[in-house]
Amino acid sequence: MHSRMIRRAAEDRRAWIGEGRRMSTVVESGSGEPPEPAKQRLSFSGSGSEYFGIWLTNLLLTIATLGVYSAWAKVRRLRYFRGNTWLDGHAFDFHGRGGRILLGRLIALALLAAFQFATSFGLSFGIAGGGLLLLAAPWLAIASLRFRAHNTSYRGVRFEFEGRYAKAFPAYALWSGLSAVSLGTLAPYASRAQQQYSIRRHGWGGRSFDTSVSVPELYGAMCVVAFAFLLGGLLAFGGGMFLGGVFFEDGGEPSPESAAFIGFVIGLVIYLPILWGLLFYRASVWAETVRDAGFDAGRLRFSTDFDPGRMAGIQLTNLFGIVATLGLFAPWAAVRAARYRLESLELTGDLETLDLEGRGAASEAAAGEEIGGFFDLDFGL
Amino acid sequence: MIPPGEAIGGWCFEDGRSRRVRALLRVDPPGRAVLCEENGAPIRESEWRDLSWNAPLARVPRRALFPGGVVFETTEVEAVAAWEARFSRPGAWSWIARLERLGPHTLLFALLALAVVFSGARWGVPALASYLAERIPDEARRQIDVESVRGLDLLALEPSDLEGSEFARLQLLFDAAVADAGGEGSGYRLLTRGGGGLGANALALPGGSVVVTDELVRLADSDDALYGVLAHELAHVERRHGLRAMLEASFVALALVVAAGDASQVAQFALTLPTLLVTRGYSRGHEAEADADALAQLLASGRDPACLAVLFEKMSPAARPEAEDADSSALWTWLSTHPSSAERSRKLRAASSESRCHDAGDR
Repeated sequence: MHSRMIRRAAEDRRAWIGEGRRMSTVVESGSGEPPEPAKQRLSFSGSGSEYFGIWLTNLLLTIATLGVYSAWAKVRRLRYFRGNTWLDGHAFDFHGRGGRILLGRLIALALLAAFQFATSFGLSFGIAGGGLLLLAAPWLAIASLRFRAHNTSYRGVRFEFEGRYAKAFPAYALWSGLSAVSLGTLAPYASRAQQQYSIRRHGWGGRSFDTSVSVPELYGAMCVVAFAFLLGGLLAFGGGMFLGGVFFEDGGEPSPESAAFIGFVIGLVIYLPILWGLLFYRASVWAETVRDAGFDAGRLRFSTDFDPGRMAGIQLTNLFGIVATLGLFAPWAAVRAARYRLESLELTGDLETLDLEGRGAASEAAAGEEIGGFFDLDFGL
Repeated sequence: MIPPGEAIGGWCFEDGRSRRVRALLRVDPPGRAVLCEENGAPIRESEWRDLSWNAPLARVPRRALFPGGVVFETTEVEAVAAWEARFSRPGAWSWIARLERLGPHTLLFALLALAVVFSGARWGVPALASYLAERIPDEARRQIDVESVRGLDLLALEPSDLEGSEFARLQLLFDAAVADAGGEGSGYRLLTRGGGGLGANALALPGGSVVVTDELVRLADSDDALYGVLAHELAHVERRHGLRAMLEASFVALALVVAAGDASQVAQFALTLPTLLVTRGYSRGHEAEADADALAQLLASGRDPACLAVLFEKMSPAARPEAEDADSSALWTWLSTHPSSAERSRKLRAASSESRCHDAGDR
């Protein structure tokens, strides 16, 4: 049944190419002899107020359906962000189906609840749970990268992701484990392993992406992070001494109220630089990944003027906006971060001469049949 | 509104190929969709009802699949919506897309969302946590105690150096408090430890273990005060406050992660502050409940609540009645895990008919 459908589609395709030969001449006439490759920047056309309506509807319908709608809400959200991301006159598209996301979420929720509950029983349960989670991590990463890629399309062609547990194991379990054991000092190696694995396994129309991540550059970012942590520690220590002096100059016992106040200030002074540092590192990994990325053996090259410090600043102020407005700022925050990230990306090369063939954007049923199986679930909450 | 026969522009692909061509789509009544190139060369023709369109969403491009695998993509979302209204029955997604558009209903939605989120946080989460906490088996609760005591001994507490007589006095009070609360045979257990960094303190663990520090025993100079502390901790166990706090924190963290749409470790760290602010509120509620239970039990067993007030005042100077400005710290009480000491002390004193205990100021 399925193969017959494909054959029929192929016959139709031949027929159309036959009658529309002009099409290829239209495409090629524009290029002439290209003296230097064209540069194109990604653009993002979403707006906070427009997304607010979608976000709010998602929230209310999710509540009204006791969470069931959340899967379809995710489809709306991803479609909004992909559909407003433009490159060379075309927007990206997302084709995920709510039912599959719901199934993935139920499994993820069960795992998360089991893990949370196990940790609350004590350390040994937590360590056992963490170990199991680490072993499952490559599998979860593959499933979710695959789902995202297969359900995202550009110019009518879906992206691809091919991953095997054995190959993903070093990136998502071994290095993550070593990074955790080394208290994060090996994090750049883990980041490099993950980013290179993930990008190189992605394809579009049968051609693959490539990137190389520099570990020294990431250690440079780690130095900035370490400085932020140190600053936080010093501020907390100094602030604690100062406040302690102000509140307890009579040498008396601290009251629970002033202890709570001092605890909060010290907590905040440590929390903010650490959070900024984590955001900065994550943004640096992203910048380092796209800085040297390419497609189809270098026929397309990515470049970026993305500033990780600015991204961390945007995300930190977003958090304050969200807390201060009891969450209502969240849609503007998401749009702000997405716009900065996407619009910093530039692509060099001629998209027009790439004649790619892959899985279709609109053929949802066929794609679902062929990919199928249990692996195509989205575990990202 | 597009007049009949009028065409909209867009791109045409063979499904699954990146090569594109500019195309025009028009719909002739009573519902014949005609796709052609810009110069008029026909590409495809089909009945409108045989096209499969992606669901409408804001200004996101619409995409139609023609039978046989040709795709038409357009940014003219309003024209497509008008055609849908005219030539086919609008589906559920058109209805949802209308809800998503900003309008007077958005304000109503926003108020409704705030109300739901507020009442969910205020009543929903505690109610659900309490429902589940009642259903956690005793064996699991005792296991939590074993692990918690091990962790506390490792990190915060020291071995107790109470004398035998001091411990015996405390154990008698504990047995009395358990009996008065009707909790005999429920697995309650008294443990004493050196307070270390915690100082004068008492802790209730979910499985029924009550940890009292030596410092607290020595600070309390009346049996009634110690009895009050023990009754307070037993109330925590009886009402499953420890389990409820764990579950509440998990629910809030989970809800925030889902709302943020990001389960990364960075996001989880970022959300610790909002989670803390919400769960602190629950904790103050639990303390107020335990205080009320302890007060009722003190009165029922003929003991003097003011003695517990005296102990609180010894632990916190701000709780003393003569503290010049007891409300100066009110702003910060919402950060605290406990209700204000002054407030707790005042309630206890108000319930006491005649005070048998000396004020902290007299010591």
